[in-house]
Amino acid sequence: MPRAGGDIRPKVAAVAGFALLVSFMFNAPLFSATTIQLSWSPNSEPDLSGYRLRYGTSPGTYTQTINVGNVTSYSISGLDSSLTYYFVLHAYDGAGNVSLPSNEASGKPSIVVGTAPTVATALEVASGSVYILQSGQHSVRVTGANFQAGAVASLGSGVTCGATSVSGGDQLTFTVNVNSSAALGPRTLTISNPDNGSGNLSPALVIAKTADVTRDCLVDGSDLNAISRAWITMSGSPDYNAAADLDGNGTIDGEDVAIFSRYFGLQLAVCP
Amino acid sequence: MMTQGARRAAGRAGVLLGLLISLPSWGCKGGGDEASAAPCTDITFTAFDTTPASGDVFMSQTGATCSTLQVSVVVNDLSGILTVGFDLTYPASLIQYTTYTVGPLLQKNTSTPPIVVLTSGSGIVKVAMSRVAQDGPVTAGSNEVLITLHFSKVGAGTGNIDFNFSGSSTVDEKVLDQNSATRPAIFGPNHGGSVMVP
Repeated sequence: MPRAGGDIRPKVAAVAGFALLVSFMFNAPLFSATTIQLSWSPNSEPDLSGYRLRYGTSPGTYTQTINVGNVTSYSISGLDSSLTYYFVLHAYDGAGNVSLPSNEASGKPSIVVGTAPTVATALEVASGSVYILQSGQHSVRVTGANFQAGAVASLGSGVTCGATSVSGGDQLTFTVNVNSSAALGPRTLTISNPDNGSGNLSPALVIAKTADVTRDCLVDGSDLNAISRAWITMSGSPDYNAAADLDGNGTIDGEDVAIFSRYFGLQLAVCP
Repeated sequence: MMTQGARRAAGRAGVLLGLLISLPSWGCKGGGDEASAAPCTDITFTAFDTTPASGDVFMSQTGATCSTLQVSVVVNDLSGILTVGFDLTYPASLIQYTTYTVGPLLQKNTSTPPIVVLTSGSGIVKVAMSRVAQDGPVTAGSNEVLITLHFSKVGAGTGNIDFNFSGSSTVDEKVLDQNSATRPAIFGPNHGGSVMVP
């Protein structure tokens, strides 16, 4: 048993192995939540009951105490990655005797980042194009490398990406909900793996107005007629039709026909 | 001056050339005798609408071989044409869509070529084509070709090519003018035809 009276302390040898195995686990996309893993060599007393871990952010000052039980490793979550932490261990026995502290271990954890995924292509599944219409739910297929289960996709404001499904590490699919007020134009796709590795493709996808210009739930000749009638007109001119300016760049031109052509004849997921 | 080795090589080349010339030509059609090859029979398309009325949009054969077929979409006597949209179905077990040629109708007096958007899947072709506003609408006189669709043979048999009025169609058959008003175009029923692939 550890000797009573406060003068007993875990054998130095027993705690000399106290070490910080520091790693960070991101709760992506927030990178503030961290987990630090500590491990140490066990005490040899047969009546050892457990350890108390004390730590703080100043040397010799330990503001937090955790009874970790009779284990030789422990993880602490929710630490601030910008601070240095200082740790000591106390051993205790069944009679309530507590040792003096171990040597102090400290560290400012460095961020451990996994292998970054590579994002090669991204396509809206129904149209097989890079264009995602401004409203409704759409499916996106991404190809690349090093995708991990639980990876998180992001396309910026106004676009909500659902949970991803990873296939073979080189393909990833997810659904997106595009807010009707989401900004038009190209978007950067970021894929963040659970091990903190992240990769992006810019531009990956383009938010466009619905190709159903006439709002009759079909993308057909009527919509091409609307584009043709406003052909090569610019925002502010009398014949300009904002609804036909599918890419929202202020001119009705070939880019709008390109968007129309990708959705021509398709049954839209959401009728405007 | 040619060396003896060079002369031998030249001699061998001459022998080889002679052999090549005397070889029989094993072509397709069985043995290279073009005259004796059995002639194939052309694919035929028989239009349903043989007496087109004013405003009719219908299909007509404009070319065929034993392995290819060209079917034109023709407009008869209709004014105010800026945009045309339609879809059609064809027997995918007999023929497959390969390409298209824009007809003269929408190309009359244009400063900008007509916009043509065409998508195809197995047994279906969807078409939208339009003149731009600056070129204005056009009038079709007697049986003017809008577009010609090219098909190639897949198998033998008979089937129909026709505009698609089924509930699953995602393209309305219509002709629109410069005000987005629908013109009195008639796409059917039975404005396609039957195809026979020998």
